[in-house]
Amino acid sequence: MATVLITDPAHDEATQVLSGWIQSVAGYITSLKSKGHTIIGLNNSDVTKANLQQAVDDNNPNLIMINGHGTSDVLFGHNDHPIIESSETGNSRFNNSIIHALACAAARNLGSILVAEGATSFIGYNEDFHFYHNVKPGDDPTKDPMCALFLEPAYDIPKSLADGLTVAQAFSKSQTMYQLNLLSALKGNVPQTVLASLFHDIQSHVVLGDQDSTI
Amino acid sequence: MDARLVKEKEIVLAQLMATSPSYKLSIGTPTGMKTYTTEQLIQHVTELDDFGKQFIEMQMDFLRSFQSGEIHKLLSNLQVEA
Repeated sequence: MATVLITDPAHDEATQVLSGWIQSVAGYITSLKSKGHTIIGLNNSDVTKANLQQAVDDNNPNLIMINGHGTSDVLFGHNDHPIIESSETGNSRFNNSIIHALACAAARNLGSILVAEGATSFIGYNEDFHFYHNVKPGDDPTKDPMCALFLEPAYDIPKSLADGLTVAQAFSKSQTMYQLNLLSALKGNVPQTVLASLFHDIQSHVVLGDQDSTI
Repeated sequence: MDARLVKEKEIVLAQLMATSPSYKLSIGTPTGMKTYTTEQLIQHVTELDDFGKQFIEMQMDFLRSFQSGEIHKLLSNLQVEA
């Protein structure tokens, strides 16, 4: 039985595409009745630093999913306002949480800082995260096969953790999915430009901290 | 202009011409996550602006991974069920 905190800023085209996948993950985690996990969602304009800090302080989440823009030192929320920064003094509040960041570059520096200050593990990307999509207005992003090449492996990690896998197992499963997608795309008619971005994401996907941990 | 860059630009433009105009690439930048249409990517590469050069470098990194064997090493560990 775990508490999962999820940010879903959905303020621009990219984060709105991510939102479809985020809600799908939330639905999956909720459907695991035998696990009894609790979801705390921060959506749209509620994804602020103050709200995130309050939610973490009140609930001590086992898993924190941060989704949106990132740099090597900052994770952002709604309208690209910072919500977690390496320069903050209060990052010890994330102690004992596994953090999954679907964001650019945060694993390069911020991830290590959060782990050093007590976060159990940090799973993210140490370079910019790319994804192609072909989602028409009103369509469900989770049904877009172009999106799925990137986001199905990316979001498999929180689902695996909710299933009870360790951080190492969840990461390995995600990497395998990424690689299988790349192999399948290489054999298919997927444009080289898309393959290059998929390869880039595979290479920059990293895990920091305790890899034997579970939620 | 760097002759190598000109050559790489031509390679990447050819790749972009083979990419559906309906595809969009969302990518992180220092100022936020930006979304580009194929047409916009072609424009950036053609103009060789900072983002265009970054995009070219990423495409060339992928092509070089075949030459170096990096991609074969990455995929060789997969156990694909028959």
